[in-house]
Amino acid sequence: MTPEERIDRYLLGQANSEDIEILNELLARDPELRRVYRFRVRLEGGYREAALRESAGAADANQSSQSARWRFSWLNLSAAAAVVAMATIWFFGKQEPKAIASISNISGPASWTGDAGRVQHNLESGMQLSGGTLEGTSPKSWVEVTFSDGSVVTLSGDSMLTFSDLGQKELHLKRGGISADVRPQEKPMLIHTRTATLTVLGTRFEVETELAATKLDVREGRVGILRLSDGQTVEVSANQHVVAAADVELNPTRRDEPVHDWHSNLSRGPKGLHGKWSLDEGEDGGRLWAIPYLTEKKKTIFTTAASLSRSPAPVVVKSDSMIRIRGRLKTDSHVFVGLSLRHRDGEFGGRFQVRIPEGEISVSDDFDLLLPLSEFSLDPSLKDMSAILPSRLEGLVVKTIWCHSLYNKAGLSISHFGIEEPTQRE
Amino acid sequence: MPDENGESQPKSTLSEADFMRLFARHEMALRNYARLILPDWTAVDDAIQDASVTMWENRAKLRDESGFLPWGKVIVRNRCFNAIAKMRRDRLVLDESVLERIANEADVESDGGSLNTWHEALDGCLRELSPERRDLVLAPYRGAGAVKELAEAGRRSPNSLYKLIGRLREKLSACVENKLRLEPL
Repeated sequence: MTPEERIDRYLLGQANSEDIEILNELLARDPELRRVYRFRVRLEGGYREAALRESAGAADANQSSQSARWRFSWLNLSAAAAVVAMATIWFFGKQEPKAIASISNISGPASWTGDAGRVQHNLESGMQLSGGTLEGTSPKSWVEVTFSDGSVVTLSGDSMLTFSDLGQKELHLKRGGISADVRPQEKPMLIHTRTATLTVLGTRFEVETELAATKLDVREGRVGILRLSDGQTVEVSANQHVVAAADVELNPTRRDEPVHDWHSNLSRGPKGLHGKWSLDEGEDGGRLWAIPYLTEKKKTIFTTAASLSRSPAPVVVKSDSMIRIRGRLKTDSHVFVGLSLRHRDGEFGGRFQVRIPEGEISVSDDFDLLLPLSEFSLDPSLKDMSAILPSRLEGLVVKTIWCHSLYNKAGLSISHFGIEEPTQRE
Repeated sequence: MPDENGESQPKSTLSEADFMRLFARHEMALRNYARLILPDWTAVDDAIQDASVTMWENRAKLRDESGFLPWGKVIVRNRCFNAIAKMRRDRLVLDESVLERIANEADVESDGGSLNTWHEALDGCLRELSPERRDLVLAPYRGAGAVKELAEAGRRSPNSLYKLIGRLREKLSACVENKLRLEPL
């Protein structure tokens, strides 16, 4: 959390003792932060004034519209009666399954399979969901679902989640990852993966699942995890993580300090990768070929991606971080390189990308791109969310790094993904 | 700077009407000054009310119009530090030494130019938000429970809404700073 965020938490009455302690220390020694504090207080006065002005305006408008409303009241009454009659006919004629959650935010391609087995692709914010299966169909997919009790589950990347709530929430994470902010439950929420069952009473955490392993990272509270292979259980506390897999000890450990440098190792196989993987004779030992997917705008693009969720420590970008991509292009094409990011508390931090125009990458040899973070800008498909997404990338955690082209004939393949900090470079 | 009672200053020639006009003109600046020290607007309202009574009782000691704001700030500052000393027993507030530094620097800092330009910048940035987002940012100032009501209506936790508000405020802060930089005061 940045000092500015702590100042706002203090001004909103949301600061805890840790925030106060840190603010006292920082404000005492940093005159620039004290200037920021004064600026934020001034803004605070402006918000309050705007709110009071709007409330006063609404009260005036309310008074002046009273007489007009009165004149139309008979008309309104008959219209209301018609609406009630139609609603009654609709309700008894067609009883839909009860909604247990709704989509509160969405970006990227995703699909929903409801009770009747009908698959819907045109999902949008506000859509009510009964039990069913939600699927993110690309590394760029991101869907936030809010349950009727306020619990929030966010599906990100190429993921698949089935959920129900018949007095107890049960989630089946079949592929990929979710983050969750679960409100206190009367009966614990259960999350099933291929390798583990999680028991959640109310807390914040992230889960990633693979064929033979489940990774749990707890931010707040505690989560119980049962390893299916031997029935062993452990409880994972705040700031701890654990991997449930048959071949590693089920031992919660404290989350590692963030790192700023990360490199893929494609010789190890296709785990955590999105694309068609093959062994390669080059120095990186493996190669990932772009595969097609349909965007939410029904456009096919050809993409490769690497998930950083297997990194033992969160990979956090700095303002001067550089993104390295090595690969090959068969024919000229625009190439896009991007990052999916999260805040340190697990919340979605947006997708940022850079476009390399056609002709700038040589098609005769392998290419080696080193892209400064400062060149990355918000993915245009997230434009509507720009107000709530960070404008600066530094301090965010990288979840996925991807590279795509627009055409199959471009023959894009990647041999290396990397995030580098300046001190690591020569 | 004059003391709280204006003891070192010659007698004022300001009428009661002049005092009322000056208080109305500087009330926002005095409120914002109090907010630097106090942790919420209810405490600010109480402090400003107390301070305004003291100012009114001592208005005859004010020398001229230009001294009104610094004189008012001295009185407001004393009320605020008295109030926060009492609050410290049962709520989380910043250290007195930190608040003193902040207030001292505010005393010598330029007020950032015309209030109108500043308000125009903030209003412009608020207008760039969708009505729902704007409503959310202003919710904490619409009475106790407004954020909770929005959270219940949107089936979200208040905590997640406060986080969203924090991010929107981050954006608005950058937006206002940018507008003020582009339109030097």
